[in-house]
Amino acid sequence: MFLVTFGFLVFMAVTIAAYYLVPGKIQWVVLLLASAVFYFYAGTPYTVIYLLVTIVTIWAGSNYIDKVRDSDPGKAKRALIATLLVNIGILAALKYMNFFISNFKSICGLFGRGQGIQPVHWAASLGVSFYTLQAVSYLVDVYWGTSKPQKNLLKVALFTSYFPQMSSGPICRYHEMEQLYEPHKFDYQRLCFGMQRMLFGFIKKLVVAENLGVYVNYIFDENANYNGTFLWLGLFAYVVQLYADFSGCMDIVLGASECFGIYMPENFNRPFHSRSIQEFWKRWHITLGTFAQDYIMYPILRSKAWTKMRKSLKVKYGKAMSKNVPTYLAMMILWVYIGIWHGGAWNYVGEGIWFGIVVMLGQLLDRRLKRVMELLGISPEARWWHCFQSARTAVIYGIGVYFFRASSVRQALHYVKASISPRCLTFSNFLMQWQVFSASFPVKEFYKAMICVGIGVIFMIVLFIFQAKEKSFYQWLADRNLVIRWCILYLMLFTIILFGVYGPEYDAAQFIYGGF
Amino acid sequence: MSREEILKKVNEIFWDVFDDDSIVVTEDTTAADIEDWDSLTHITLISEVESEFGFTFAMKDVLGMKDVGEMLDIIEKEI
Repeated sequence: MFLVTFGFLVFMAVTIAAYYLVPGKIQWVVLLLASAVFYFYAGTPYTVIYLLVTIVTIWAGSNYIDKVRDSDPGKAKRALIATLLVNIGILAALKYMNFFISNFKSICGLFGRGQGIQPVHWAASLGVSFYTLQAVSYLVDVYWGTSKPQKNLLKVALFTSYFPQMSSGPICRYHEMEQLYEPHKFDYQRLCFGMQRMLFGFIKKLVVAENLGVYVNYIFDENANYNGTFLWLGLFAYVVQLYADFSGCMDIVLGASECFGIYMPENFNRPFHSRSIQEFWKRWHITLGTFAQDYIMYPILRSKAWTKMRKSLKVKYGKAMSKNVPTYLAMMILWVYIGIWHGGAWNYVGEGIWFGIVVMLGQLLDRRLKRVMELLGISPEARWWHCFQSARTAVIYGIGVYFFRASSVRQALHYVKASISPRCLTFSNFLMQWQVFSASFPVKEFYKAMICVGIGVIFMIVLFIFQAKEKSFYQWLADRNLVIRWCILYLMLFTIILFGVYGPEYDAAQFIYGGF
Repeated sequence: MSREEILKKVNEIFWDVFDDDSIVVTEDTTAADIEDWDSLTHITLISEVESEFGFTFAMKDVLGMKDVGEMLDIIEKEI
């Protein structure tokens, strides 16, 4: 992946130099040109056509919608639907066509047909899942009147293709990104903060995620058949890898953007501090959750069909049902969407359904649980109770991750079954599995990798502590004297150089979320 | 319908949505004043107000409303 290559650092240095050398009024043009270069370098060049269609349609659509919205709301609505269909159609074709084809083939197979149906091999444009959602939010905001449309086509192009966020998000709203077009004076401290954040991202990605990834792959190899506590250990390692990979990627992306004075929304906020799965998803991949909430669940809840359902349920079954059933139904649609956003496969749908069910149960049982706690005299603010809730949330999330990691629902269910089967939870079974595991590669290498991971995790914990205190690590560092500051920076740099996985033989592994 | 009457009806909707008859809303009441008033209940609340008063809020207003007073302004304008 381009973001963790030396080439990206050179690319950033050139772009930063050009950005601050040109007059403020045309700084955004530098970003647009850099985004074009980035796209051609990191993506499949011919797929730029899909991106161009998105740019042109949302530019034309948004301006037309704004023009006719007050005078002819019907026309505005039709224009919105048409533009959304084009863009969602491209996304569906590029990402879900093979999912449709394989399901269609299975259905045809039931009737002894469909042998000739073959999957398609279409290259998706870089970041299509991310920029399409941004395009949708922009169009809908203009339709709702919460954003003014951008008249300049090239500025819309920059909003859609801004290079730091191109491969893995975050999914930004238009009003959050209008700062792209504003002039930014050179600010040495801001540049330092941005670069230091990128450094943290490299530690998470190259030191923690990449070192763990090798061994996680062994455990989750479909032919490996690990189970019991060993599989739990593998799951724990995978969750740490996933977090280090995605949040590390966000640190690189947000840090790179900060170098230009452009602050994008945060995508993570200490997710493992959450007391419930609902809270977890407000802290993990935040921008996807808020997108699904604002542009999928709210419109559904406010639709005529849902209002009608609410009214008829109230008459037939009373207040509680009329409130809960429509809300939970809309919630379930949201969760299935979040699942399927990750890719066209049933295991992703399974992941969404799992989280949907857990959130629903959480809401249904919330009041009862509070009453039980009152009876038992447990304070919800007690530290141990918070720790228990966070651990419980992590386990529930981990089970969802089985679906995310597996290649099919069957495989995911196998992982779940293999983790909880009592005969697999014995210590002797663990030792047996360890023997099989350690025979797969030189054990010394494994220990070395784990030491590297441990060192990387120490840096992550330091960052957690600062976040918990709502303090900026970078500001704290800036306030230290020159010697301490540079010692810490060198420590970070050498951690990457000494313990990171990189180099000519390193296959610049994709960010896990880069694949979406 | 006078503003006081609208406020009274809105208060009853609050009782209904939050399942709590002790809630007393004023013009200055905000989401911070009611424990369960999150973004999801906000949408339920809006839908109930729409059903009661027979109009639809513009999404811009749904997202931009800061307190009950602003909600009353819109209701007064629409009915």
